[in-house]
Amino acid sequence: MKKLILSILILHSLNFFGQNVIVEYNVDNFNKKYTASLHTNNVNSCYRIKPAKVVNKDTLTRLNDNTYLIKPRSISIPEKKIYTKNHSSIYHVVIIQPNKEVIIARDSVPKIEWKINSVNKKNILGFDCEQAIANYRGSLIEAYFTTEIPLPFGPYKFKGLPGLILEVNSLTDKGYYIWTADKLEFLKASNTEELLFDESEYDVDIKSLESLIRKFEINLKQVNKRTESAMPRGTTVDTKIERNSIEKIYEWEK
Amino acid sequence: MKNLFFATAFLLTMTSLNSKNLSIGEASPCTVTIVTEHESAFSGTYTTTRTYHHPSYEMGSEGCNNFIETMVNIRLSVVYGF
Repeated sequence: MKKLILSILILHSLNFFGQNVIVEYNVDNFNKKYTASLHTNNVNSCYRIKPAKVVNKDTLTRLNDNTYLIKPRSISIPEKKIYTKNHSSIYHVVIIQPNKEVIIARDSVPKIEWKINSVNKKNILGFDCEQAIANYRGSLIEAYFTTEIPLPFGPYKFKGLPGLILEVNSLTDKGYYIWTADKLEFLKASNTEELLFDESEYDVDIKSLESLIRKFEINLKQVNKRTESAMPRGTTVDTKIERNSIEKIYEWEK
Repeated sequence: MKNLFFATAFLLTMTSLNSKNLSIGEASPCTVTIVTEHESAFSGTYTTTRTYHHPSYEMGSEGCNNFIETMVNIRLSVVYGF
């Protein structure tokens, strides 16, 4: 009975206030921990990452007799906004410090084919959540969503479930990619402007995500190649480059 | 049939012994593996695993240790300069 009243109250507030919700997530992304927020209604969403700096204490680690791991001294997480709509392109707006250089990428995530497993439930921030599993760009992921808030979005680019996604875990890289809702707020006033990507706000060309990723990977290979001239004569080298992101395979690579 | 079985077993044993003998006394070539991490604003973390071999040095020798140090320094400059 209590639950029914709570659900009616939430649904009422969603309709009354134009279905605007802000969720704050704790993110653990390949050992980088930060917070991100999702502002969403039932049509649009904007996922924001505030700029942050992750400092690595151990930059050079000897893993065994002849294997070493080198990490950057610090990683600057740029300010990022990901604008999502129900059935259209996703826009990434990345603002790189210190010059506030803006890069915009257009991404087309294919429809995520979720398999809902209502038996596995979890309570997150007082909301009953059901489990859903999907293959997302080469990673097996599980999401917990709540039908008590019937909005089809979630953190990062996850969407397409019959309720707001409050938790996501990678099952492929267990413990390496986790989004957990920490706070949830229903907004008193509807502010859809913040949720819409407005191209005219920025004076830059929009690039495809594919072209930006290809450019980065070519650059990475070239940097590796350039160091080969500094190697002692007679040295041979085997190279393997791995993408450790939650997005492992893109549509254009299939 | 019995003879064929023994002949096969004998050949397999000899092959195994020979391959073991080949490795005895052979010095392992100097090898170092260096894993580096790189960050992309759009596609997250990448790891590059590079395994360097130098045929002129044996593992554990001074020349090999110097070689490993050189290669680690080269990769450090790549990560910090990227």
